[in-house]
Amino acid sequence: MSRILVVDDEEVVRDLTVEILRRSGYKPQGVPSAKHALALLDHEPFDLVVSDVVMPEMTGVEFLYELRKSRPSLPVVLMTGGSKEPERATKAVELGACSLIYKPFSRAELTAAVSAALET
Amino acid sequence: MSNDAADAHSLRTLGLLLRGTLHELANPVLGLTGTAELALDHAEPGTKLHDRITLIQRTGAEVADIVRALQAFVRLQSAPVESFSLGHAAAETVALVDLVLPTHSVTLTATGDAEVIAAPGEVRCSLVELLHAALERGDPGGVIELAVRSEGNEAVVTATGGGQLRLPVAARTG
Repeated sequence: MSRILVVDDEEVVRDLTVEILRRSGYKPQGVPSAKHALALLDHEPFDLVVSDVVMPEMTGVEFLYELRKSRPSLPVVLMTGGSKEPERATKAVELGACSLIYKPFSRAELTAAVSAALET
Repeated sequence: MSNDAADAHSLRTLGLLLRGTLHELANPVLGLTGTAELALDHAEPGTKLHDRITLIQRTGAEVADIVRALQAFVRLQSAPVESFSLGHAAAETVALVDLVLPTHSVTLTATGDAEVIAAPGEVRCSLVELLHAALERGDPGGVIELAVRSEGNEAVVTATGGGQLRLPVAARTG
């Protein structure tokens, strides 16, 4: 069962994403910030990270940059509803994000992106 | 400040507010539609509860479609000049206007195609204005068409009842 780390400062979205992934047969865990995620990744193994882009303190792109330094092969799906997606999407792809999905996404869109990222 | 400058200022401010609103709407709309989708797993089909949750989900999905369509429109505004299908842009603009503007039962369609070089965001804005002007002109027999065709070195979009957009066609390669 794949372990997935869900990072989003919005509790509703984080809990919802975790629940969708749990019902899809994955083992997800949610954290409210990139800093929490980096701390958890130091102690526990995950097969995939699903992260929001627009977050306080450390954005999803900055988080991805940190991940690429320490875990270059860990697949990452970024999710965003922000208004600067072209720049952020370009940057995320350069840094190796597997995909970028736009909020509000459907259950099917999320599970398809996760499934594809885990196959890479 | 002249009237035109005041209008431009007002529209720019409105655009900034709309962009922020779209971002702020994305999470709650996702919460609404996603929670309804998950709740349906626990509701017995055929019950009032199932029907009500389905209604919440369907209504939420309609709002989500509008938010996504407007987000895509906003993203295009910062896209650089490039070669793209004007027919596809017209079809997407028809779909957007159908979603967000009152069409009063008028059917909107797009026909034809041409490859052009332009800023995709600017072109979408012009196409929205063409459709909006056509809708403002009144009932054109129940159908408003954006017809795309090539004319020499230009691509032309004509809206039913008047209104035209001209763009340079992309050079053919190979």
